[in-house]
Amino acid sequence: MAEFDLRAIAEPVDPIGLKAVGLVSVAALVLAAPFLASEYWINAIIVPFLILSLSGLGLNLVTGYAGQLSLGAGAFMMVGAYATFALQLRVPELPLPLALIAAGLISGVVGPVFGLPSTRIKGFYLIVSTLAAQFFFEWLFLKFPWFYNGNSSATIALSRGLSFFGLNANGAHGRDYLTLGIVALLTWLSFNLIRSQTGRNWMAIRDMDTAAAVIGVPVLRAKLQAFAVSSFILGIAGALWALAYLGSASVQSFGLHRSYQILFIIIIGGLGTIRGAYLGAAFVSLLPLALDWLFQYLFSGQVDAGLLQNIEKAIFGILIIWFLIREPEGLSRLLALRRTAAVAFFLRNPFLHFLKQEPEP
Amino acid sequence: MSMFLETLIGGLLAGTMYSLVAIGFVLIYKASGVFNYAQGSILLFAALTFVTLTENGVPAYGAIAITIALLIATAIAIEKLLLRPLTNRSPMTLFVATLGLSYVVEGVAQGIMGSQVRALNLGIEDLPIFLGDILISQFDLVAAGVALVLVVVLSLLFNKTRIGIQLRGVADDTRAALSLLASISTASGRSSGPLPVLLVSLPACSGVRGRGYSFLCRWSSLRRFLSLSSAASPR
Repeated sequence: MAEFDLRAIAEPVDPIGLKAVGLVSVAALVLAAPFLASEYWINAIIVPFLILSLSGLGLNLVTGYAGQLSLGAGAFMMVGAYATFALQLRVPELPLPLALIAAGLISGVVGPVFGLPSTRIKGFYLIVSTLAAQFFFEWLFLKFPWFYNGNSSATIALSRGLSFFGLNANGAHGRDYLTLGIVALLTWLSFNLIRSQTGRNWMAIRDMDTAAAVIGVPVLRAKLQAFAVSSFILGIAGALWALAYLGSASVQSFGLHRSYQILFIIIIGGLGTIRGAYLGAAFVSLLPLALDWLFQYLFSGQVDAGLLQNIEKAIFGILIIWFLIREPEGLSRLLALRRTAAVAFFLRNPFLHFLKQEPEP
Repeated sequence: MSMFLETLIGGLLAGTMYSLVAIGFVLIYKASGVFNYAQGSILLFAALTFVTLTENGVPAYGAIAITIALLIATAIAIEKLLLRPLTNRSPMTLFVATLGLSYVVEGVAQGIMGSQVRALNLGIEDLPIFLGDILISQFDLVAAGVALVLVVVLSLLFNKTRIGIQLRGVADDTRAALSLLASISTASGRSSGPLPVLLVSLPACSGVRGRGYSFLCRWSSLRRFLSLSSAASPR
């Protein structure tokens, strides 16, 4: 009984398709959420949560799956945002979805350029190369007014708002569904990608690149692929962040702190899992709210906002360290453990035994 | 020509202070293999502590002593709570852990001592010295002198003393060192480095006074230099 995998017996416990029911109810909840939540919740929590999840997903592909630590997430988001802005401004015929894809592609070309050093160097030096992307693009997009169209405040904003194919996505619900659609599509694509040969190549490189090379994985190509796909997704996420969430963005919206935030999302959520990006993003978006409420409740709003921000910062740091020490696989692993425990509880409970299907002989 | 020389000398002296910060990084990396991303935050912590103490009427020497003691305590805590549980993990994990540490240190330091801009008075007169018609800041000279002494002391420490050689051994090859040394944790503990951090902090922060730079302003340019995070900005 000591070595006994609960997951193995948990598998048959799905007589009425609980998994399918779960998926359908989650989908229904997600679709209905805009009508259940107030406009504040949609604008301030749901939309940024979705976009942060998407960025986490993008970074997770290169860091969690391909094992190349990158601190350039903010930079690639920035490229996507500025590219979308430029395309919408200078090629007005291009509908928004195509502009987003084109911006993603531009970002997806830029990513491998800064990922190129990964073919020769590893670890810290690669971090420096991705940091270089961060500083380079902050400089580039501030230095040349062409990128922000000479705007006096050096910010970018869509002149025509979020409308395409006669649809208007400017309202809270419109933005929510636009973001949701893109996030769902890209999640589905990444999910398939990581289960394909490409994804398996990435994981092989992450686990041991020498061994991967020995069994015939094209290491250099796969690393650059990972950077390309990751920055494609990050670029689209950046465009959404600037245009669907913030409305108008500047270089500061994609500073180094954004890169850290996204790195933290995938560490807290779980490196190398798709759902980790969502869990991490939910955590990162809800923690400040939870703390806020807690302090409101405890001190009835007498806490200074600056102090609150510092407390939040310290708590984030502590959580990062805690996760690294105790649960390097993050929230998604914790969740899996809880699930296994719940299944075990049902299996042990004689009254619920009817749920257990006998495996077909 | 005198303008050129003045700028050159001023730049070199200011560069010495930056180099001190860089030495802090190198020391910790060399002695423990940890790329300490929290270096900048610990710098901030040291400076803030010193400023807060002097503002509350503690004399400068007392404030330095207390700051040193506090930094040593912090370093020991970091070793016990952060580095020891992460022994033998990948350098990447350690790096991200120090990134988390920088958040904790910054949050706690600014949470307790405030994040507003303050001036730091080290009690060194900043009278310019004239060499012919070249102006040299006396303050920069003092800082550079301190830096020079520190570099000599540290290189002696790492090349001549037993503890220094042990630390280098641990950093070069943890496993080999483990088989030779009885007390690797002591070695890596010491390497988490109160000494370099502190020694680096004070002169670096001290560059502020009498130049019209606000303290945190200078600090953020330092952080920029170290490619650390910019100050918390709105979402």
